[in-house]
Amino acid sequence: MHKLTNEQLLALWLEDKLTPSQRTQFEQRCTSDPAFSSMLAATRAMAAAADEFAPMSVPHWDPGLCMTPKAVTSKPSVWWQGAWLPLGAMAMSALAMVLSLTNFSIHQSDAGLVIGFAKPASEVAILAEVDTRLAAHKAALEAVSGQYLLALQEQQAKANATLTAYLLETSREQRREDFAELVQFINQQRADDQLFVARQLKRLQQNLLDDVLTPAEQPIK
Amino acid sequence: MFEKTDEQLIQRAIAGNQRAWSKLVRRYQARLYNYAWRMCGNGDDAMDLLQDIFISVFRNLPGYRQQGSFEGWLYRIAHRRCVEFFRRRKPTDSLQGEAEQVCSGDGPARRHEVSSTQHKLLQSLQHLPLEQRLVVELKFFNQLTFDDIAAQLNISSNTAKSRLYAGLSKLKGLWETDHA
Repeated sequence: MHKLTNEQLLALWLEDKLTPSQRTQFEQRCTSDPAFSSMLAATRAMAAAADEFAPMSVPHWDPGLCMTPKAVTSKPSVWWQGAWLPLGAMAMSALAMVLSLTNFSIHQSDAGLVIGFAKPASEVAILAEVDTRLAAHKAALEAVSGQYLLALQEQQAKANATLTAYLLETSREQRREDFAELVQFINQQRADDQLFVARQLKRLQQNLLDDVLTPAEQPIK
Repeated sequence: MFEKTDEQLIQRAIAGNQRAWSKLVRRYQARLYNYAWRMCGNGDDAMDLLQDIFISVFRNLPGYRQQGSFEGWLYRIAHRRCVEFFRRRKPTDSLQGEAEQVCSGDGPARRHEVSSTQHKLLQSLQHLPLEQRLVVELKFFNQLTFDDIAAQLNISSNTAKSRLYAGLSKLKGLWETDHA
């Protein structure tokens, strides 16, 4: 049987954890060891005094005094003094760094809102699409411009032809009129000339008659 | 049924509810006051220590994680404040050394409340070094096991037993001297 010290025996007895063999040892120690028995008596006296101890009444005091500003808990009285604020600020800074390093972007187009990391592939496609459309537009514009030019030229040609015809027609008319006037003038001149010649002939005739015939032979005028 | 639990009062006290805090204090102040009195030996120091304890409790309330009972957590703070209280009073003394007999600063009114036997007990306890006094207090007045005492004081169970035995030896010597 393992021999326990006085301290161990007393501790086991205080907690009522003595085994039968230990209890035997305890009882033997009580009778054989005066020091142990006096310790036991003192322990019993202490236990009795504790049981009989009448609690003292607490003097009146204000527990609210413990809620001093120095004793204020971490819970803030205003929201901007919260412990979450520095952490939140740090989290937001970290997020901003991540967004910046990963080329985060938000694009709005006719197709909708595109949110993504790194340069979106659609931007390349969009640029290619723009180039294609520009080329097509340019080709269409050129075709339309060519057609317009042709139309313009045709119109111009028609206009020129019309003008020419008009001019020709007009000048023909004028020439005709001019010729008519000329002919008329010439005819008038010829008529005048004919009258002149007729008068000259008549005079001549008269003169001849004057020369040849006597006054008795001259016709009655 | 309508009695609020410690946890409910704690949450409200953390939120700044003075009534909840006062209720929580009144629930435990008697036990802690008597603890403080047995440790200090007089009412004035006991009151100072009590307020020290509750100021520390309030400050640490948000840190209470409901691991174990609130009373156990409370007493852990009380022990720390008690050690600090004595250290402040006598910074050069070791806590294991002989405790200086505290001169009772109680007035006649307080002494009337305390019986002579009780007064004698309190005076005897003041002769013990603080660390032995703590173990005697927890063992005989709080009915804790040696394992619980060890957990409270952050010592081993064997150390707790040794300190109790040494404390009881000293008390035995004192009482024998008084009776002689």
